[in-house]
Amino acid sequence: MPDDLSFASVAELGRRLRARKVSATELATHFLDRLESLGPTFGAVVTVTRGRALSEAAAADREIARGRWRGPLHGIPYGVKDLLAAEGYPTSWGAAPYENQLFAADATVVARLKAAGAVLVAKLAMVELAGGMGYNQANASFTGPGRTPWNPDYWSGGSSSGPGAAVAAGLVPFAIGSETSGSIVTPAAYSGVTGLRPTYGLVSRHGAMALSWTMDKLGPMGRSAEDCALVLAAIAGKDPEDPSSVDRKFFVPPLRRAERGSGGEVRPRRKLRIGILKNADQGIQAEVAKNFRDALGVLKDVITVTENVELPDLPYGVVGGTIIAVEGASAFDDLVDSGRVAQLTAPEDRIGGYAALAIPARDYVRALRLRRPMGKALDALLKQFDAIATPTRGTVASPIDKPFRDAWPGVTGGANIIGPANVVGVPSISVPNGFGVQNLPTGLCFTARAFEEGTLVQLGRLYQSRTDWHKQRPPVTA
Amino acid sequence: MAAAAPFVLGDLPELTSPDATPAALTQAQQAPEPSALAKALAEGIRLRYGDRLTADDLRTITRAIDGRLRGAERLYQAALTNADEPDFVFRVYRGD
Repeated sequence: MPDDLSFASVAELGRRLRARKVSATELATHFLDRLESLGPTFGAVVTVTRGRALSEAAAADREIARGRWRGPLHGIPYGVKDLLAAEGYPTSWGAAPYENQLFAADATVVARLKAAGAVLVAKLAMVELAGGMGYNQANASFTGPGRTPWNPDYWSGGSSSGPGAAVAAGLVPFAIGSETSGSIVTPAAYSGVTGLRPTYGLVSRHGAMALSWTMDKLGPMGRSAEDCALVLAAIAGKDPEDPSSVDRKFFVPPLRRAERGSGGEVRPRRKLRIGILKNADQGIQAEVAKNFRDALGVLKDVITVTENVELPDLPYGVVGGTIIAVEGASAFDDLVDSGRVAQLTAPEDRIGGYAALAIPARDYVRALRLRRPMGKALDALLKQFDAIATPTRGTVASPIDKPFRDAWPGVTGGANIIGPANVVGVPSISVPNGFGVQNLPTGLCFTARAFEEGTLVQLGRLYQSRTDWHKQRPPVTA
Repeated sequence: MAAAAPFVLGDLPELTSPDATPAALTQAQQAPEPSALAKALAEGIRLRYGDRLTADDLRTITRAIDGRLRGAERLYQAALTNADEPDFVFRVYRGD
């Protein structure tokens, strides 16, 4: 099997399947073998779902042979963060106390991907309980730390550490991650892949571990904005099993002939308006700041930039922190109350849940009351632009062997939109935009108004049609 | 900096947040004596779960509560009116 399959896009794999140059079974086998041989190197995998994968792939082959084509994901292998239920396999939530937990039915996202003909090949590693107990180090999972394939001495990011590492290492063409506050875009940046965090409610959370019922989102991680769009189109939409899901679908934005430049670059019909946060590139690593400015330079012909945009002065951090802490304490009440929380891997996670029990109900309700005016204020800002651009993170990945707080001394973080965007539930996309310290990848992040995922995909396309950072491969050999 | 729930322990300001300033970081790192309220709230944790927590654990928890209490002051600096409702809607249930 040619190794160019490992890093091919979803669209390219689909073309080969339709042309019968490869079968779904051959594709599944190729990625299953890579997951088994390389997954442990990067701490990327909890369970390889070989039996289910070969069964789903055989079904896809039979349908394709009969001329039934379900769409762009038909026969494409993928992995899910191990907080999504998949019938027949454990769902560990990354945590030793739940290592053998079984659910009888697929999560809605898994069911929708199955309906689209995709082939589940792995349950992927994650930070235990999606970081809900306040971890402060990469080694916070019963499967060990996730390692970025660009340098396995460094973290792949969290809490979707397995999806980030697995996509980057060519172990799966795409994966599903989750984000409560940074858990898709961070591993996307640290692993050098594209991550799309949808608007809260666009993708059903049914069958996913709950950390924060009002902040958890599920979304795709893949090789490009285009691939993420194809996946999002398959998983978005109302689900009666999730009352927070909204009655909206997502359609991949069409790419018209007139939008294609002679060199293959995408040209929008109008320039897109981009806001840059004040101090967005201050107080961060110099290479991250340079890559951010270089990326904006690449887009200069197709965007107009407004500098020094300021977020409304509201307490996003403490509102988000209070909501996550209280909802997380309730979601894992039995774990803390029983004392089984002591079985978690990171020492700080074993006691983090207790402090949250002392948060007064008054503070939680206050945080929820602040959220509405906060959402209105941020929307009023975002609607002035097509998107706000920021470096996804102020640094490259942390070393595996250091607490996060000691990883990059002197880097104070600059202005970042991850916390505010997650509190109010608006979408972001992170695309690779170069390399920094230790040749580790950096990310460019666009954030837009609620349900403007199409605009984010368009921005990703614009950038990725002009650069090849998303096509770079880490030094991985099977 | 971790993604997800960095305020659970409460003594580490979130670098991704506009609330996190170098001054705030320095303040947290200097770890002043926890307030009486933090100690009282931590005592509630000790009374309920003290049999499984070490003295070091309780000190960490007390510091975490103290840090969170200091951060929570910002919740009350933004003005709200009686009409500002929590951002969720209760829906009555009626089965088939």
